[in-house]
Amino acid sequence: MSKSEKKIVLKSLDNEAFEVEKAVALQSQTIWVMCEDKCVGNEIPLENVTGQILAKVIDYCKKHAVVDGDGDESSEELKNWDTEFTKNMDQSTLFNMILAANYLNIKSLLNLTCQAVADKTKTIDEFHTFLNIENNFTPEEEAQICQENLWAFDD
Amino acid sequence: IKEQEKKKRKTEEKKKEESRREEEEERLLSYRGRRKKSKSTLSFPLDLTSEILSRIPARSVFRFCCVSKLWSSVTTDSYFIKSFKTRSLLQPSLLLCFIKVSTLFVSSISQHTDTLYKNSNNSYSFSQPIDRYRMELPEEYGYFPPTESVNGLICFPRSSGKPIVWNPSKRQYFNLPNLRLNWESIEVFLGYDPVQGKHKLLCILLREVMGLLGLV
Repeated sequence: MSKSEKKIVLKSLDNEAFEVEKAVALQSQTIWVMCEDKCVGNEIPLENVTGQILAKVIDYCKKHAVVDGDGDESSEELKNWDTEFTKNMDQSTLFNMILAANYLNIKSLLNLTCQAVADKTKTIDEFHTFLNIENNFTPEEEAQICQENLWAFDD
Repeated sequence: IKEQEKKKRKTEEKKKEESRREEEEERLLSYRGRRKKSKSTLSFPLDLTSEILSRIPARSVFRFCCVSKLWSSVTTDSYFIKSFKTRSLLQPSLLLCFIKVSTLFVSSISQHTDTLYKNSNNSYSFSQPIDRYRMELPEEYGYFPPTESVNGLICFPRSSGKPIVWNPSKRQYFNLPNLRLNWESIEVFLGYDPVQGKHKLLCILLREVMGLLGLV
């Protein structure tokens, strides 16, 4: 394999280009399939991911690629790294990371980010704002469903 | 000629109206587009919603039922229930319950399987209960010891009257339909059919069984 073949360029929605090792990028099943089918050149356009998010995804993939490769870091350390990785992300970044992980099909990252959202999101309002969901219950319906699940609300 | 003019005018008007409508739609689209850009999570896929929900504790799941109709439907979806179950199986917990008159006291304690083997003196170490509550059961009757948990549900047979099928994580019990015979002197078995994904309750009349045994 020549040197140029080992590298892949990932291009984000806002045309930011990232050159990464192939081993790093191939953690994404989506990219893996694309390369396998030879339907892309060395540059892969990712139309659903912004540069800001893609940079973070690549950080994650780099970390995990190294560990899978030579195993000089313990799984404990990797776990700590994962926790730190999501710890300081705000909600909207996290939700975008989930979307990206889903689109790129990186199972472990999807697991990590979903768990982080589940741990961080405590109130209904947070879900309403961050997912931009409209509350489509009529006030009566809402009152009824809250009544049914009343126990879940008392502390 | 007049009619032709009228027709012309009409078609012109129609065209105008159409273009106006198109403009409006475009405006709406661009508005939506802008909103999309600022939040970029306008259409969060439902399967991902279910992924997140299956990772939060049961109590919060029921709280989030109130988020929207869609979310409320996710929590009763069989795929969701399955993945929720798989996840909770990874964290075994001990359910303690006792009945005083007609009040059921429940506490759920997380069970650390690793400490089970480490401690040589067979003592268990428990953390704070995950969940603790009490609920009122229907009328005061003698309750037999409950059946073991069958795929999340537990059944309380009673000396007389309908047995109770209880869902500990939903804090609910179900009203069973009436039997053709009365509920006296029956043996109750709770089972789960993984193919249909349904719980079933089997009732056997004790007298009949005894009769059978007598024959053998």
